[in-house]
Amino acid sequence: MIAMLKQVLLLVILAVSSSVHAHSLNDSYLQLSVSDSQYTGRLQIALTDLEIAVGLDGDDNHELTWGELRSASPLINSYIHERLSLQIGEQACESDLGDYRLEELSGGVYVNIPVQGYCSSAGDLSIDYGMLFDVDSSHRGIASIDWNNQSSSYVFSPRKQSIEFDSDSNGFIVSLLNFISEGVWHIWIGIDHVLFILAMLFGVVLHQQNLSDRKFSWSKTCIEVVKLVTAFTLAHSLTLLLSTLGLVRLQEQFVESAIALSVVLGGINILFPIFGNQHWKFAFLFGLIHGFGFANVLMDLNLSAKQLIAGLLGFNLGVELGQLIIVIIAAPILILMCKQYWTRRIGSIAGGFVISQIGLFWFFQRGLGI
Amino acid sequence: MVRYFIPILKARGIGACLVILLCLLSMTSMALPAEYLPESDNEVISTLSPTVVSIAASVRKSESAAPQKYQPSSLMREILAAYTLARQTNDAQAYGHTLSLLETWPDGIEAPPLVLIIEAATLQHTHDFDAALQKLDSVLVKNPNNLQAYLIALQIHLVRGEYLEVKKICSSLNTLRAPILAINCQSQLLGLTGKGADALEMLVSTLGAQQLDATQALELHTTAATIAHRLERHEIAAYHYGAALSLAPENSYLLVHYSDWLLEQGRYSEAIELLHSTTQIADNFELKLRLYTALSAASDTESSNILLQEIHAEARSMKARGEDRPHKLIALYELEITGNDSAALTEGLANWQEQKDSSDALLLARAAKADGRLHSMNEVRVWQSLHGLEDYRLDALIAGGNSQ
Repeated sequence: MIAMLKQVLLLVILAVSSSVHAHSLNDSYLQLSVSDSQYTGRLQIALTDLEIAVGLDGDDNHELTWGELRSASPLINSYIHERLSLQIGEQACESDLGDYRLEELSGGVYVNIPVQGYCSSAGDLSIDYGMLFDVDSSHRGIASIDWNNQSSSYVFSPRKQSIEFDSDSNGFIVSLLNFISEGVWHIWIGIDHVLFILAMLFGVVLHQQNLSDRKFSWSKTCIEVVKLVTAFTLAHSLTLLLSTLGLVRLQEQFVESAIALSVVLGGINILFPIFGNQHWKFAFLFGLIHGFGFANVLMDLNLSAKQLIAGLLGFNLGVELGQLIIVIIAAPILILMCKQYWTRRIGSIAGGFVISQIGLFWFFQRGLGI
Repeated sequence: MVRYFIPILKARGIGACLVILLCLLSMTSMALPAEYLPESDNEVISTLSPTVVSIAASVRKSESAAPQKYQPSSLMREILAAYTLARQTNDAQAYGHTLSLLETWPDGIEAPPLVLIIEAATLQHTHDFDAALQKLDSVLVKNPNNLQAYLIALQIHLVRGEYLEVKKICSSLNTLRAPILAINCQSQLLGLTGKGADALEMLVSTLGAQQLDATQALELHTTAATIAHRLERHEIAAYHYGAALSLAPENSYLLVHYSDWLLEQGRYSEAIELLHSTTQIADNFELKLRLYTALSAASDTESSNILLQEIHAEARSMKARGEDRPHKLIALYELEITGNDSAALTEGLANWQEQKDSSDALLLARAAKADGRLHSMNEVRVWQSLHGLEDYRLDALIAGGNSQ
């Protein structure tokens, strides 16, 4: 006992402040889509967690093989059935687990297990998740649940092992509004996106002013602005969809660098009208790139495919709304500024220079790590 | 001349943009891999770390000895073994395993001080400070001379900036005739409340005059290093960081602070060497951020880009934890990697609600300055005025905020 106390004293003395979160977290990820009486989804669980939970290393050589994992699948499936359950109303749902696949995530190699099942009753949905908590209190189950048009993310923990959903609630409107606000927020905090929009807006207004010379046309300018913003939104919606569904993925560094480059070109266009009267086409082109950048936001929410479509609608509405607010504020200011020769001249030189320089700085920072 | 080039730029501008887009889209062939199926049963899909092997062995042993598991003596040994592994590896999962064992302590049997101490230390490490302090109070009620309880409580109160409580503990350590621990406690308190020079003097004097064991020397050198660092006494800081690291080369707290110091001094190659030499880099997000900064500053683009992908992926995992997410790490990530100053400030403020270490004040000030939110800078300014925290980096940030 005295030896134990001394040992603890030694360890405690060395207990200087350090964050346990500094270390990688091995969480599991659960995506479920429940509609009517059926559900489908996927469970992702780290191999190391499975080793701790059920033991996979049959030959005790500290290396896990595909064969060892497959051999342990009955044990794994039994473990999952005991620890993960859905219930609608009074009845527990039946569940089937599909064939395993592997995926490399930040916490290491994960097993992807398709989940599907059938529920024979109606009523409120409840999900119980109790995996790993009895051997690792730091474990968390990150869940993304889509049910009854209600999308939600949830974190299971030792203290929160169950969630319940009310069958009467129609969360679609609430969910949509949440995503709209997310979209508005993320366009406003996305300085690179905002700068790009402002640069393109400035370019359009300048071009219209140069075309019309003394007789400036508000209606034509407004039409061009609407075309610009709409083209940008359609484009980034397309790549946002493709990217978040996993159909097209680009390395984050390339995306961020390309976005920076779009800001540079937008700034240069203010100084030298390289886009001519084709602003909306360039907005579409660059919008395709910006969409990949927005995809990271939705990826953080770890949404299911069905949620993603609903989220995409709301998120894009929010982005459009955010953009429109920026345009409504900025466009009149730019138009008024451009109506006078000297303010137009100074504003375009200063604005074009500053925007292109900021874009260049980001390009070197993101692209070259400088 | 400019007008001559405009048509060329227009045409080339369009062409250049199309080329860029095609290049980017062609990179779909470089699309990040998703699910895959190994080709044979013999293919090794993962190598288990010693920590995971140890935890798994402990779990298997518990399962096979189920009836005896609930005997206090054997459970206590298991708990101690699990906690020892957690402290040696600083692994989150090892701490989680320790907590899960602690939760199996039988309800009807009063947990001995050792178990409560380990539980408090584990809770402290997972930042569940209130629960940890509750455990410590229950120990101290029955065992008012329990040194370990005071030391854990000291760490918690220091992190939370509760200096009155720290003062009481320093006094208790004196009473308990633990002079070196008392000196370290007092020095830490002085170093955070405007008397850093006095603290350094005390520490240097103690280090020179007394016969110290390795643990005591480590504690004193660590405290001296961090105080000297904040006071911009770089030679002294360098000496004590070196001395402390020679005693504990894998101590993550030291590695974080010393790498900060090296980066601030512009000694990027030394920072890279330090961080590459430690096993802690594999699992420590804070150290990865510092390594990325060093590699970027040293223009090692290839290595920094590879590390950046890891950092992004880990940050996504952390953010997925929702309310449980580690605010400090995400604030650092947003500030140093994404440049999302607004998000950095939001996370920095959330972190500030939980802890008020000198590094937390610095983080909040950095985020407030970057985001231009003067009222958040005021919060740090007021804190500094109230407690007298001396830190040249903080002074510079606050001064910069004052001039806005």
